[in-house]
Amino acid sequence: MNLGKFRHGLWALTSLGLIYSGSGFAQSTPSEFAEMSLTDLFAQSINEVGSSSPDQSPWSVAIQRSSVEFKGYLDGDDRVSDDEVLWSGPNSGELRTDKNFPVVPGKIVQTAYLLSVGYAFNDSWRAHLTVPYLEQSTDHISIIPNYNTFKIKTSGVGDMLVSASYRLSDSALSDWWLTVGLSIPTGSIDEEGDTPRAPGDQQLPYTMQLGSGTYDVPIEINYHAKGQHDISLALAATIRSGTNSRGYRLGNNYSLAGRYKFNFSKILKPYIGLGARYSDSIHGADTSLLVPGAYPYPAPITNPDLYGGIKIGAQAGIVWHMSHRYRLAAEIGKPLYQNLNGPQTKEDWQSSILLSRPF
Amino acid sequence: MTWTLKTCSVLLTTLVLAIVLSTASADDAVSKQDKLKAAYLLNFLTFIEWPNTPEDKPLTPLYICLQDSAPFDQFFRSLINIKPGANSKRELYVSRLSDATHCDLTYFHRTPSSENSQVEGSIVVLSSDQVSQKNAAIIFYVNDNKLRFEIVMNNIRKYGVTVSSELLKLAKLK
Repeated sequence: MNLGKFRHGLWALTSLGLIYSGSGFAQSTPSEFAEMSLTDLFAQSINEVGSSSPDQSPWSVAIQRSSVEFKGYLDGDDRVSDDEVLWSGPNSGELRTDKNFPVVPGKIVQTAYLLSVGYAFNDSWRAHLTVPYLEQSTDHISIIPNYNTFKIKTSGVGDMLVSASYRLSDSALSDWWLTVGLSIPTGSIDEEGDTPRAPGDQQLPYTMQLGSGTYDVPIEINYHAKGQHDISLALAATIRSGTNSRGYRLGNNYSLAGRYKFNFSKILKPYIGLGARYSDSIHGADTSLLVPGAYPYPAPITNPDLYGGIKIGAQAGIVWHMSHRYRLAAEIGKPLYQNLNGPQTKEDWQSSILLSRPF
Repeated sequence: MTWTLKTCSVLLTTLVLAIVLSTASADDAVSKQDKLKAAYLLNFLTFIEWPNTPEDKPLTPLYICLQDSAPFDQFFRSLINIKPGANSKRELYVSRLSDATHCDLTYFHRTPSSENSQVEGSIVVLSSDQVSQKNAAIIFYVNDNKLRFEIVMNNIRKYGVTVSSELLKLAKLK
């Protein structure tokens, strides 16, 4: 439902930030050159990004904190209340169906801290290593005695990502980048916690795990218009492979995102973005999450079919060029439309802050 | 499909179309050195004041002529589009030297094979000292990986222009 998309979104955001941070600082767009004073020009080296120059480094570093909160339920694009999703129990007279559950997550908050290090081999080739640290918490309501409300938390290192970016073309007005990566399953898929399923700690649902458990291949094509209007577009996919040791594979993700950056000032650059994302449901299942009986899923987040769907969202952010070397970016995002394999918790908002030292 | 989805679809389609259209106008690569030269040219328009002829008429536009060089030409035009008021007093027009009838400032990136009558009365800027053109007034050169320019005072005085002291301070004067 949530985590796969969250991870995918983070990856795309980091990748965009890193690729375009370099070009932004290296003054490559007509807008940036048009705004340069004589003194600015006098200080500029003629060397391109990545070439040996005393004022540029082939290394980039970025630290990012991203948060996303899920609250409320959707079945398709129809709102469903928490009460409708919560089955009231055998004595209530309410029918148990595939759409109601004795345990229901109320609010899910996922926060990721990402450390990314990049290296520019030359003007056309760059490599990145991204290590995420994840913190996740889920508030639940249930009809199980002593578990009417409870919270589960997990945290730890997620799946590491190595990627290579190649500049397909570069011109005065635009450039194209292709990025291909490998997500290494360093994140745990064996996280346990105290749930109403049984006494003590048990295997937690898919959303609470820290990794995918599979080797995944993120692919992204980026377009950046560098003319009078600073527009970037990213077409991305995360293709997952095989089946993990728990017997499932998270769904593939496909996304298209665009961003328009306003050129009001050399120091502060606000931007707006729009993105659409489609995610598959989970393939296979972690059978340890099931309970005996006609309805084996005690909570919607234990049903692999209740993951995935379509999301369209808008973002707004600002980039502060703190100095020649460093920049700080902040972004908030809100979904405009969601059509989910439900009932599924819907995304409520997301935010991100990024401190980077680009190439 | 709800109205929200329709709105989002229209916005996304518009964004994609805008990007595809702008891609279609993209040109070949321009080196950073050439981008810097283009930005310097833009600044020259700010820091050089051309005389108006005749003086009692409205100010005539400034004509900038570029030797045929597609990527540089395209990049410089985009700078002018972004900063059309680079010269606070006059409108700016950019044209290829081969198409021009009159030039106020002419940029050469290679030695021309023949005489260009349009260059008469124009401030001549050379891409480097490897380029030859008579009466050159401003010549770019590289020193310690930085782009610099030389102003040939005898030649620039011929055109009756006023060169700002800020520009002169940064130039090597000859």
